[in-house]
Amino acid sequence: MSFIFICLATGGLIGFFRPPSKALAKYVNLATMAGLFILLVSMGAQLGSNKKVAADLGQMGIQAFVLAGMSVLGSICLVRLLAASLEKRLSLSAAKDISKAGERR
Amino acid sequence: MGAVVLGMVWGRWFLPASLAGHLELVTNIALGLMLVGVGIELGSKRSTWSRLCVLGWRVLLVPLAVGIGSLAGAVGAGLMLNLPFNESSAIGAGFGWYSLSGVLIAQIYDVQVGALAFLTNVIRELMAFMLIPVLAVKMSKLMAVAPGGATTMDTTLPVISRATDADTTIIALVNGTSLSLLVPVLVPVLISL
Repeated sequence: MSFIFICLATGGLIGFFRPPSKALAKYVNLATMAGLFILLVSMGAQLGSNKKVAADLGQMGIQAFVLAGMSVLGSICLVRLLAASLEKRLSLSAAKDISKAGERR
Repeated sequence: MGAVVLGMVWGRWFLPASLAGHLELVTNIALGLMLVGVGIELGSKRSTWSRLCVLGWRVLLVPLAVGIGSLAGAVGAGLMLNLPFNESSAIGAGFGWYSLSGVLIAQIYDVQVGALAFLTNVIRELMAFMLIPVLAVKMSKLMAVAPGGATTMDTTLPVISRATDADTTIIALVNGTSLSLLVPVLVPVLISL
């Protein structure tokens, strides 16, 4: 697990202190996409080579639907609980921000 | 999704057994490469972080509520489906970022649970696309930010922008960026519990 955090922190520090130029950002994005593609193909290959997993895909679909639905519902319910006070406070802050930005222009 | 299907076809019919042993080294290198790239992308979002300073700490209550709600919902679903706490919570911690959550879980825990995380978070993104315009009209603009999770900084941001206003779009951007930062940290921690 430390490997994950080391890679992520290294990238984060590079990005924050030495943000890549537009041209370099393209290559960074390309490398990220290449890494992601290899990992997704590899995940698919491991799934495809396991006959039991392939047979359970229908069941997995139902589980995924329930997990996704409940996650979305949980997020909506909690934001609903905080919505009234948050909207009041955040719209005031955002309005101040916009007026300050206008003054700068 | 195409990459996973391609991999499944390859693994089912064409993957030679001699290559399977080398697959782990290749995927570890790919994971490192991808995470450094993700880190660079998140770290270089200085404008979002400076917006966060202007809006104040209260704006972080939105991703906090979305994140806790998402985790609670996934754990609740896990209880219904008899899934262990570590699996359901880690899947919920994907916050809609299906590619990263799926490959992280597949790499460090189990490929089948990784596939479930991938599918769950794909469905979450699809649900977000359908729910955002409805929530913005029927409930409130801020609530339209909730279903998208981490995707509110990229794929669902244009939908939020069209369905709500400029203030909510900025909040959505901060929400998505904050949750995206949490995904690569929370998923490995929760799946290892």
